[in-house]
Parts: sequence; C-alpha cells; structure tokens
Amino acid sequence: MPSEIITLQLGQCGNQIGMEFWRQLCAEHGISPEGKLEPFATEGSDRKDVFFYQADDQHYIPRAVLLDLEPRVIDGIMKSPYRHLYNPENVYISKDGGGAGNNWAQGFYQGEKLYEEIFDIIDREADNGDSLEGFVLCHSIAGGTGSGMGSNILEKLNDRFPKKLIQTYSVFPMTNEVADVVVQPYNSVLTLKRLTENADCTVVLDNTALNRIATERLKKATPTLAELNQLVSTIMSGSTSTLRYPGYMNNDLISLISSLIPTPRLHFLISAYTPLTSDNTESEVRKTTVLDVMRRLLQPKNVMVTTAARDRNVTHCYVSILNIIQGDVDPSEVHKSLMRIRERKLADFIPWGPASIQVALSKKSPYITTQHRVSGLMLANHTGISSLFDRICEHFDKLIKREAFVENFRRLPMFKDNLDEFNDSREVVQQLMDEYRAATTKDYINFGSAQMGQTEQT
Amino acid sequence: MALHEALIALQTGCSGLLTLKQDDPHFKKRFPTIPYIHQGELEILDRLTQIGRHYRTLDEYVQNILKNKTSGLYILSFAFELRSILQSYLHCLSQLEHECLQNTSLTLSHLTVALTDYTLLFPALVSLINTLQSTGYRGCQILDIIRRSTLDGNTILSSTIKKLLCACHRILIKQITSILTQGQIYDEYGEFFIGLNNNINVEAMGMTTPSISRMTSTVASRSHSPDRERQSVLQTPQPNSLITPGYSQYQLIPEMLPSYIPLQLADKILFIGESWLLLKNNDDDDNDRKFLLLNPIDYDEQNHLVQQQLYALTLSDDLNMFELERIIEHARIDLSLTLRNLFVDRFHLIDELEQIRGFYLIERGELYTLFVNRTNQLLLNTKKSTNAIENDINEVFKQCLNDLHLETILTNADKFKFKLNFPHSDTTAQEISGARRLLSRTQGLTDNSNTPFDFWSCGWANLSIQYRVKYPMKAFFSENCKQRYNDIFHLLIILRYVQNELNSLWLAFKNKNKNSLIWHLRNSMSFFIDNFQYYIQIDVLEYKYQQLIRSILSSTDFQQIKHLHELFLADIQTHSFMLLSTAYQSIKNILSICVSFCLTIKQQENTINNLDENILRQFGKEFNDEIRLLFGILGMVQKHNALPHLGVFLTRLDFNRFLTNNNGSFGEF
Repeated sequence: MPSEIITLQLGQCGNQIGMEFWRQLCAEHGISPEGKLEPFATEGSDRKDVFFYQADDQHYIPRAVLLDLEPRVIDGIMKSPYRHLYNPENVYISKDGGGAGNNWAQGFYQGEKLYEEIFDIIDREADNGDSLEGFVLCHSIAGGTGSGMGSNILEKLNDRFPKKLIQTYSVFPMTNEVADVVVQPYNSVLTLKRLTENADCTVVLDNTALNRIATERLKKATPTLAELNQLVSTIMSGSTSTLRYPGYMNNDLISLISSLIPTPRLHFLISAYTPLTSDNTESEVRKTTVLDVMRRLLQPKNVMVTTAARDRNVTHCYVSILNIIQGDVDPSEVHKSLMRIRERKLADFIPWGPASIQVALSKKSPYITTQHRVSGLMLANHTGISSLFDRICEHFDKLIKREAFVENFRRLPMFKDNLDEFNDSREVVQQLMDEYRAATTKDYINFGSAQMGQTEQT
Repeated sequence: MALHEALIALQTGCSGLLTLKQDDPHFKKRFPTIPYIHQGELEILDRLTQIGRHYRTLDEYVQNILKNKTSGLYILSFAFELRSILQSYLHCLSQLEHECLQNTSLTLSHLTVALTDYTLLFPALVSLINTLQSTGYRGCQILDIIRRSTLDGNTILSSTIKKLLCACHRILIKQITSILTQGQIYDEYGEFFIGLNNNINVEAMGMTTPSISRMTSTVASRSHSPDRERQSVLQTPQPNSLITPGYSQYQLIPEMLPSYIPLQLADKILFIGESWLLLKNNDDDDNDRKFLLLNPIDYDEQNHLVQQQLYALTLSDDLNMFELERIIEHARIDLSLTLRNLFVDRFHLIDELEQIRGFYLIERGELYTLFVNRTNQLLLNTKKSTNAIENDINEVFKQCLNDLHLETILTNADKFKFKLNFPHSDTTAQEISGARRLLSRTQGLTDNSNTPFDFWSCGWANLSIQYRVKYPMKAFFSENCKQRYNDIFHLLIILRYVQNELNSLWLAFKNKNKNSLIWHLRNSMSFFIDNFQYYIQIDVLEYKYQQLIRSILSSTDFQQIKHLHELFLADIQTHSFMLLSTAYQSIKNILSICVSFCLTIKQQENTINNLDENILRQFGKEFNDEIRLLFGILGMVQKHNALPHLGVFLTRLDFNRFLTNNNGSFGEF
C-alpha cells in the first residue's frame, strides 16, 4: 500500500473540514458511514488505500488523526453517523478541554506539552503504511488550536519526517475590519511563518472568497458553515482525485506538487472549482465543455482566494497552473481549450521561465451522479496571493504598533521575555511577499542567488 | 517422292533424303543438290523439315515431362496441353498424307500452305519451352512467361498459347479454391505463391509487408538481435503435400507471384487461408468449434458457391481477373466478419488491448510510479542481464501489482514479463557521448568509479516487456507489433524514471533552499519532461487509443481492425518523434542530461554548498542547447505541416511564449 497520505485535522475548523472531506471520500468510494464497502462498490478500480486502510474485519478506516483542545466539534462528529468510521485511538482531545482561547501562543504551547501523546498517534499511523508519502493538515490560521497547535505540529513534522511531504489546507480568515477574533492578524502571521518555513504546499482557502462564492455561485444569502465546509471538501477531494482514481499521470502527491511549485517558498496555492452545486439548488451552469470549465476556472470570481490583480505597480501573474479535469473528456478538447486560452490571453504567466496550464485528466466516481459532464478543479500558483498576505500584514501592523491585545500572548513562555517572535514572523512573511513580487519580474531567477548571498553574509 | 520425304521429315525432322543432324542448329546438312528436285522445292523441303524438327523438340519435351514426375503440376498441365496441340498437328499430317495418297499431283506448296499455322506456331512454342527450360522456373513462375507469349498480334499464335496458359490457370484456380474453401494448400511441388512459414517466430496473419514495417520500427529500436533478422528471411517452402499446419502460418512467396495478380489480391487470398487455419485450429478449445456452428454463415454452402464460381472461371480462355477479385473479396468479407466477431466477442480483443495498454502504455500510472520507485537503484546499477536480476525485477513488479490490488484489473500479469535486452556490442559511441561527457566531469569530483556512467547502457534504458500471446491473439499481435510496443514502452518508462528522479530531487531539496540554480534547472527539466509525458500519454496515446477502440467496435472487418491497429502504433511512433531521428536523438540527449543532473546532485546532496556552480551552469547550458535544437527542429517540421499533432506539443512547451521570446531556450543558467 504505497504512497499513503495521513490527514491531520486540527481544531474546530480543521475537524469540520475534515469531517466533510471524509464524508465526500466515503461517498466517492462507496464506503458506508460505518466503513463498510457498499455492495455496489466492490468491483471498483479506484485506490482506497491512499486515504484508508482496512481493519481486520475489512472495514475501511481513514488515515486520519483528529486533534482538538476542546471537545465540542469532535463530540459532534462522534454523534454523527460517521462515529464508527474513525479509529478511536486517533481521536485526541486535550484532557483539560479548555481549548486555546483563540490564542496562537496557547495553542502552540499546548502542542508543545502534548507533543509526545500526539506524535505517538502520528508515528503509529505513519508506521501503519508501507511507504508514507506525506501529511495533509487541515486547519484554520485564525483561531488558536488550528493555528497555534498546527504551527507546532508543522515544525515537529518537518523535523521528524524531513523527506515526507507536508501539504496543508489552510483556511484564511475574513479580512474585513470586523473580525470575530480580535487577535486574528497575530495568529495568522505567526502561523504564516510556519506555513512558509515548514509546509511544502499550502492550499489557501480564503474565507472571504468562500463566502463570496457561496453567496454568488450557490445563491445563498447567508451561507451556512456546513456549506462553506462543503466547498473546501470539494477542493480537497478534487485535488486528490488523481491519486484515488489513477490514470496515466499525477498519481502521487509529489508529482502534483512539484509541477506547481518551482521554488520551495512559492508554495501557496490558490484553487477554484467549477461547476459548483449544492444539494438543494439547481446549478446555473447547464452545459459543460472542457473549454467552459477551463475558462471559468481562470475567472477570479471562481477562485477561492480574493486577490488583487494589481498592487503597488506590480502586475501579478501565474507561476503555474494545474487543472484537474474530471469526467468524460476527449483529449483533443483539452488542446483546443488551451489554444483558445492562449489566443485570448486569459492567463498571464511569469516572464522568467516556461509555464503553462498543466492538465490532469481524472475519472469521476462512478457512485456519485452529477448533473455535469465535465467538472474541473484548478490549483494554481499565483503571485497575487501576496496581496492576501499584504492585507493580513496591514491589520497585523496596526495592532502590533500599539501592542494591542498582547497580554494573553505574554502569559505564555514564548512571549514571556519579548515579542521578538512577532517581528520575526512578520519578517518571514515580508520576505515571502517580496519573493512573490520578485516572481513577477524577469530577473526572479537571480532573486534566490541574491538572497543566498545575503544569508551567507549573515 | 518428295512429298513422301517431306511427310517423314515433318514428323521426324529428317528423312533419307534430308539428313539433319540432331546437334546441328542450322541443319543445313542435306544433299546440296538432288538432280530431280528443283532448287526451290528443296528450299520448301528445308522449311518443312524445320517444322518437323520443331515438332520433335516439342514432342521430346512433352515426353520428358510426362516421364519425369518432379517437374510440378503447372508444367505437367502445360505439357498435357502442348501434347494435345502436337496431336492436332499429327492429325493434320495424317490428313495430308491421306490427301497425298489420293491425289499424287499435289505439290510441296500444298503442304506448306496447309501447315502455315504451324510454321508460325512451332518456333514460338520452341522458344517458349527453351525459355522455360533455361530459366528453370516452376509453378506460378511459368505463368508470367506463358502470358507474355500470349501478347502477340497473330491471333492463332496468341489463342493457342492462351490455351496453354489456361491449362496452367486451371491448376492455379484449383489451388486458390483449395485455400479459399478449406484453407489448405494443395501444393505438392511448392509451386503456389503462398507457402508455409515454418519459422518459430511467426508473424501475425496478414503481415505481408514485414520488411516495410520493420523498417519503421528499427529507427527507434536499440537492439536488433541478429537472429531476429535471420528469422525473418523468407524461407523457401518445404515440399509437403496437403499441409494442415498447427501453429505455423502461411506466408506470401513474392517470387512465385505472377505479375498480373495484384499484391492486394494475393494478400486477400493469404488472409483467407490464414483465417481458415485459425478457425479450424481450435484444438485447445472446443467452444470455439461450437462458435463456428453458431455462426450465421453456412460455410458449406458458401464454399460450394465459391467452388462453382471459380470453376466457371476456368472454362473461359481468358482468366477473368475482375471476376476472380470479386469472388475473393466476397469470400474475404465473409470471413473477416466472422473473425472480427470471433476476436471481439469471443477472444475479447478489447480486454486484451486494455491489458496491453496497462502494461506497455503505462495506463496505470500508479503501478509504474511504484515500480520505478522500488527498482530505481537496482536497474540503474544493472549493466548486464542475468536471470537473477530479471527475476528480481519481475518479483518486484508482482509485488507492486499485489500492493496496489491490481490483480483483478491487470489480470494478464502472468503473460507479461520484464526482460533486459542489453545490446551485445557497444552502443554507438555517438549516442552516448553526450552523457559520458557530462558525467565524466563529475567523476573528477567524486572518483567513485573509473568508468564513466552511461545512462543508455543501464537497466532503465534497456528494459523491455516480453509478452506471451496466446494462440488466437497471435494472429493480431505480431512480433513486429510487440517490438513497436516495446519501443514505445522504452520511451515511456524512461520518461517516468526521469520524472521520478526529478521529483525525488524536489523532495530532497525542499528544506534546503540553498542554491536556487538547482531549483530553476530542476524546474525547467521537470517542465519539459512533464509536458512531453502529457503530450505522449494523453494527446497522442489516449487520443489514438480511444479512436482505435471506437473504430474496432464499429468495424465489421477483421483485416481493417488489424490495419487500424498497425496504424495506431505507427501513429504513436510518428507523433512521439521516434521516426524523426534527429528530434528523437535530441530528446534522448535531453533525457540523459536530466538523469546526469539528478545523479550528480544526489551524489553531492550533503555537500551541495560546495558544488561547483560551473557544473550546474554546464548542465544548464547543455540542456538549453538541446532544447533549442529540438525546438528548432520541431519548429521546422511544423512549418511543413508534417505532423498535425506537433502543434499540441509546441503549444504546451511554449505556452507563455517563453521559448519563442528566448530564442528557444529555457532561461539563463
């Protein structure tokens, strides 16, 4: 059972997304909520073993680790029909159950404290497979557990499994003025540092954009949390579909990631999915062709990150694009679509190297009936992502200037003596944004070497 | 008196008066003057003697043939017909004799006039048999010679020779009937233009142009073992009577084919013969015999009809080629439909193709990803083929299949085996010099081994699949097909290996953001490999494969299906530039540069900071040079519109017009 992927679900958001993700995977593979293979699904040519393993009684068990510092969400899962799906040993709720109080530092500290117990689970799960390919971590970067404990786990994972891939699905908070968590910018920047330094690939899911898409695309006045989570799980299951329904290519995580990420720091990906449907609304998209799908994927309104096309005299561009097209597709359609996109100049690419829209064709799950012939997912590396970081930093700068709400942080060991970690993280994020901006120019190729010179001097 | 002499001379070629020496070609030996015969009459006598002489030659020839049983049916039939001509001549003579006896006042001129036809005919016949004897032609070969003689303005001459030809055609039609209705060759003396192929290494049926298709394959194939070449040399048929072969097959014998029978027609006959073999040879499976019974076409009736039609052909003087073609085409269509149904419905041709796609064309990518991961070092270090290594590889592959639970999908795994075919002699130095140059440079740093590493002599570049085809499928997958599949596999597996190496480099360096040149170079290489792989696997392979399956399902003609399959392979080879030797060489160079790059970097992984940047730049330069060359070649090819699919590849490579804007290079390294 090679190239297994272990999913780590952290905190409230992470567990909610994860829950949706497993619900989706079970449906796609014909696995019942109890983990039994449905009688109609016994003949499949899909690969279940990447994300599941089989118990002694042939039940499918997700390679998932559920972690939280407070019991509410996980308790909810444990009351759902899916309660028997997970391996109970992999469900970990901190014993004091107090949560992290939306405090990154608290989450990080708890993660440090619970290190052994958590990594007992992760190690056991890693040894369970023949050749683990990597970890997928779902969390939000705004709260306390997902961001703080997530950061801690990222550092540890990278240390412990240096040759394994670490991919994250990170939900970024709404960036309007009224945030439900006041220290959100702190939490975000502190987490961003870890995502930059310790993750290999981060799929950015911007809550602002998710809300917008849910409102516009699905015609929901006020989208529910479940609907937003469903959007995320659609992205997650879509981006893993070539692993689960193998075809000629892109059958391992590394091949997906390596074609998208040219240099290790530019690893924040945006995503889009079309056509979107929800259970109770009729989709407004009637006919799908490959060209339609590929064109829609490039439209900013479908992208699950709100980015500015231009900022500070920088014209942002795509570093790389991977389109995963699902459904009944004639390969020649793909080519025609590519030609059309190229003619119409629908996508701007980097000026410093070759780049194109990579396409991966993937099968659809035979057990889910969809209204559409073709659906598509885009994972893209776009320099415009820096504008999202920019907005976060803007809020961060406002707060840190007057050292607002830092008392809760000072209470924990990391910030007891000073607030250096804040500045440090801010610096890392600034470098990241600089690198993204540099990637829009022709001499990005020398950016790395210039930096290298700097680091050697220091 | 002169008349009497003349009549004797006409039969024997000599008389008491006119002595002709057998061995004198000019037979001028006669009494120069005979007092009571006029000089003019003497001349006439000479001429008559000449006819007699010709008669004797012909008669001797016929007697010889009839006595000698080994000259073959065609010549025998020819001789019989000749004998009847000679008999009519004798009959004519006896009539003349009768006339002479009744009317003594007849002159020699009367004889000459009465025998005018023969004075024309006999020399022609003599020269014909002379040609036949001197060339030593047999069987169908003589048809051409006889036919050439029918093309004469003289109607008597041409109609007589046509009769001779017709006699031979009767044999031909009989042989054709035999193969058409029973698939048997009735050919005791090896005279027919279809013979038995006794090679162990049988080609698929209908493979009548092996030389051409092999040519297309050799461009890309690396190692052609000399014995394979030897095997494909056409063998002269063994004189066996009534052959009902087992696993062997028929083949066309080009030198026996008369020029006026079109090659296509001969192909069709061959195909029909082989189809019968196939249909009758179901000794390993009784069900198939039932299948024949189930078949809607009543073959006995069909055969009867064919027999009648063919027999009708022999009745006319001229062989009606159009009619013959029509009959044969009709028979072919019927059989071809049966075979199509047999292969598609009973032998599950589509499933077989699926299996082949899975193994040769790497349709199950995850299988090969795993396989490459697991055997990567083993095959890299393999320099020569041993049973142990091959066993290991096959074991690993089986394990991969097992681990991925693919046994139920790729059910034919036991028929596919990996083979390592290292060329016996050293590969052309030219081909490997690039890789050697690159690696020898790094050798200076590492001093690991004395001999420079050469990718094209390692296991990865020499891995092939041996596919054991079961009997009926042999008719579809010829050795030539398998070779082509292997040529394609060769490219695909190397691509996958290189991709895997580049990806593992990504993994190895993900936490070491030290030298961004490595990253950019890796990225460019990966970009090329990924796009090339996508192009071959999806744009070409998958597209063509879907086409093939669609047309197989809609076709009713087995031969057409076979043809489409051949076309499918040829298309893939063309579109993956295998037949464009300069481009292909360039691609191979790019691949080996990528491999050298990966291996060099990997070797230095821990001391990467000390790695001489010049080495990287050198890799970059060589890579760029090759890319520029390839881009240039392909651009030129595209200008001439030679490959419609090429645009797809170039669009991918040059999607953001980086190559165009940078003069065909992937950046400054």
